[in-house]
Amino acid sequence: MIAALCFALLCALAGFLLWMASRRFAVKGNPLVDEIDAILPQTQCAQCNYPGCRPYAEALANGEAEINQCPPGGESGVRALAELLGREVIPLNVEHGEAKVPHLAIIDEAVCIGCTKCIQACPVDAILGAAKLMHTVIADECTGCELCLPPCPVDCIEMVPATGVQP
Amino acid sequence: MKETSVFSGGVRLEPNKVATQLPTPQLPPQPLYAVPLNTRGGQFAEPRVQVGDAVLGGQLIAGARSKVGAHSPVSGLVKSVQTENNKACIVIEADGLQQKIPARPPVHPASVSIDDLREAGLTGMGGAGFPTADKLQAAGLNKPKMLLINAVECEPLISCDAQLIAEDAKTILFGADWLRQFSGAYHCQIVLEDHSVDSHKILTTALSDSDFDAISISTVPTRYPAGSERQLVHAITGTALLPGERPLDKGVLVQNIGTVHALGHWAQDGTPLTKRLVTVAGNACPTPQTLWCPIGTPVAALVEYVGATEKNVDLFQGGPVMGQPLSDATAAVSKHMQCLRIEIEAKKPEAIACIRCGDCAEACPEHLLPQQLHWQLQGDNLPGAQAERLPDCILCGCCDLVCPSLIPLSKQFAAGKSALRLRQHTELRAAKAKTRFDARELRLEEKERERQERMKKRKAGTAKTDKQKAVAEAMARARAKRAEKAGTSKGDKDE
Amino acid sequence: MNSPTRKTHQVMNEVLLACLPAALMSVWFYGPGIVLNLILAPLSALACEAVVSTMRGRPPMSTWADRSTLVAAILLALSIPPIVPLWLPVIGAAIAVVVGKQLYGGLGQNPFNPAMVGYAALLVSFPLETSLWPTQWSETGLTVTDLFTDYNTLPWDAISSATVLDANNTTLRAGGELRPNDLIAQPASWIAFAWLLGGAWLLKRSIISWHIPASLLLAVAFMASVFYLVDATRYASPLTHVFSGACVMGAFFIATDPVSAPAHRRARIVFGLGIGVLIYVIRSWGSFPDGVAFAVLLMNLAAPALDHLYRGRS
Repeated sequence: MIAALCFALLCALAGFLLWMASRRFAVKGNPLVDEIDAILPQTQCAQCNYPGCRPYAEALANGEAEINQCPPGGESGVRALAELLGREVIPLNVEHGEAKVPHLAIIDEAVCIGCTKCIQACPVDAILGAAKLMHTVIADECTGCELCLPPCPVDCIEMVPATGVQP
Repeated sequence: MKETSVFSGGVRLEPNKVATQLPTPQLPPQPLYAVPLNTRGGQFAEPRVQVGDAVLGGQLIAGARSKVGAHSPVSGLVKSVQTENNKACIVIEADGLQQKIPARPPVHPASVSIDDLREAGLTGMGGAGFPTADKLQAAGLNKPKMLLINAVECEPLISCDAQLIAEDAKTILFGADWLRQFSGAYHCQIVLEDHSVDSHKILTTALSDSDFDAISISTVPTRYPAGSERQLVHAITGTALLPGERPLDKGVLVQNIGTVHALGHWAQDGTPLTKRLVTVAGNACPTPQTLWCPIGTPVAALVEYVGATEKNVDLFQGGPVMGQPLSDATAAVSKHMQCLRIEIEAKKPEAIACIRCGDCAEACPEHLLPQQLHWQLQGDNLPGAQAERLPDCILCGCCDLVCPSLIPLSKQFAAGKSALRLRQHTELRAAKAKTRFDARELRLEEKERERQERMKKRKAGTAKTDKQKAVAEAMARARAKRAEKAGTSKGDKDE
Repeated sequence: MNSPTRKTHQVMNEVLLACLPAALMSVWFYGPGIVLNLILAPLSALACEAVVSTMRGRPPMSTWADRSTLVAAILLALSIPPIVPLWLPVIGAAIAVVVGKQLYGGLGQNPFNPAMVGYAALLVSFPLETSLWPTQWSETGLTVTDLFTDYNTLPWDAISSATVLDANNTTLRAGGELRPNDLIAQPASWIAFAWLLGGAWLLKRSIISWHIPASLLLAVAFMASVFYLVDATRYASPLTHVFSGACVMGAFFIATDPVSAPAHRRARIVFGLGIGVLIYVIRSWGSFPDGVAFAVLLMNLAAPALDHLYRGRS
């Protein structure tokens, strides 16, 4: 009888502690999405068919997407995702594009007509300019996502390999 | 001689210095010079001449006032300008006339700006090649108390400093005092290794003949890597620099003696940095010597000059410990090439597995645990290596020297360090891109909400008019009905 | 210029040299049985290594060149009793090399000390054979040929002699009280002294650092002193603990194996303290008379965690 009572008391205590802990250490938002998002390269290029890195991270967390849909992340990105999500390492899906060195958009300022279409397309606000005035790319902010290429009516944007960090 | 304390770790190496000869040998004029445009630290000097331009010796050919200048070593024509990332250079075809830009009178430190020094093309000549102007700019913010002139050539073979002291101690002292005044330091110490007795004698004599009261000469024990900036400061001040701490944080400005000499030259008559001393040595070099080479001299010319005829040789830039293999003989003498080693091609001894014996940890002057770094990097664990303080590695190569398993540790660490830097750079960019993306999303959302609100308002507006219309219609109908009624009643009346 | 002052095989040679006093002392006391072990264990180890190396697609003699296998086999041979069935050192060395070392990837990759893996396997599999210690060779009256006869037919009742730790355990189990041990009369103490000599050599040649042996011996001595002061009739003196069993050998030759020990200095001290405490705990309250092998293996398990804990500090 006493043993049963003690046990019940202990159970209650443990339950209470767990409840306290869950309240005390509650994590806001979905921690898995944040972790996945931290691995993704944040180019916001939408090559994964999601409108940005975070939506892709959410899809991955929900198990709705494959881990090989991010070309800018490259093979190392796939490996990191595989490790985090406990999935098999698979080769990049070429349908979404191929991994390549980081690129940078350059606007041929002589050709630009100032239509502002690329400014609206840029996911990181890295293009400066105003209507009917020449536009230019802030090289430091450009993620090389290529989203500005399709809207340009005069094809004046070119992708060049970004010079990496110098040792 | 002043007694100095020693830094921890390090390795005792035989100096094996190349004998000095006077006058200093000079390389015969070459037909072509390829002046490099990249400096260490990732700076690239924008070319300021075009193909076909005629230039004079000492004329600025690249670099604006914000970037380290590059100057033509000879008079001649610009043959080509290459701006490819890793091979950027300007090739000058010498006309053999050796015309130079006119000399100017000496300048006082107070009348010179950092940008003037940058334009003079000065970089660290002790091997690291860091732009001198950048260092002095940082010094300007830190107000150094002491200026250390580093003449500690701790790596075997390299003998540029001894040769320089033997040839031109006067300019060195002039440059040292000039730099001391420029940096605002109270005191200047020229530091030598205790085995360089001749250099010490020459400098002492030159110093007693001069009237530079603020300069003194001290020595450190012969122990590799005593010439490394951090270890030098440890040996002279008696306390080690903490990880991440720079000499300037302790009020010490360290400059290589070659740099000081070049600076002295420039301060005297405006001659920019267009030549340096290079020690040519190695087991396939029949006549080891230290000689003056214009910056941009093809390395092949040096090999030919010293009479190295061996076919299968490996070329290295730098000493036997930290030296790096030169990829091709078309490379040119740069401002930070102290030594060219010509070695008979040797098979590298095979490394065996690490047994974590810890000899490397004993030798490491920075108190790192190379065996742990090796372990982490073997598993590509960059965060792990970072936690073991990989960024603090100075790549001195002491661990390589003592490793009983012959593991090329410092090579691995160099690769790890640059991989880590690249990774940090990428992470930083990703974080920035994320912030900007999130900000944009927020803005677009805001806009969308505003638009929706406007839509609602307009809809509400039209709805009101509909109502009004309905009301108006109803009223009109009522009026019509009333009118009809009235009409009928009137008609009734009329009837 | 680029050749280090000593290479890995030279380090191992020095360790072998440092084993010499203890080996000689063992032979002096225990006779040709030790020599036989010292021959059989290395032969078995090297043969196994050659086979496994070949299976792993490596040159069979690649690990012979670094002598590490030889060191492990000799330490194992010096850990087991002098008169054992001939297959015992053979099996022990095979387990040490195959399970303790090669299965983890060979030199430098093993998380456990290979010699102790082999010894522990023997200890739990053949408890009788690994714990029967004969008296000194001269007193047994055996001849060399007896070593090759059937182990079970040997007159064990006449020739066996309990070790100090064994005797203490038996006394306590029987409800008796401990009396001070005459350490001078024990061969084990003399052999321990020889290991100490070898250890001093290793320290002098800076093959090992002082951190692990010092902290290990200190921990054993401290634990023993505390309990000895509490109740001298139930707990043996610190001197008995340090100079009997494999304590000194473990401190200088087993726990210091750099492959399976932590690298950080403070981690090494904790590692040594842990082994020392565990040795005492296993000896005093465990079912095995000596605990060096298990203590080392347990702390080997903790070495990576210790290194992780202390990383970035020095």
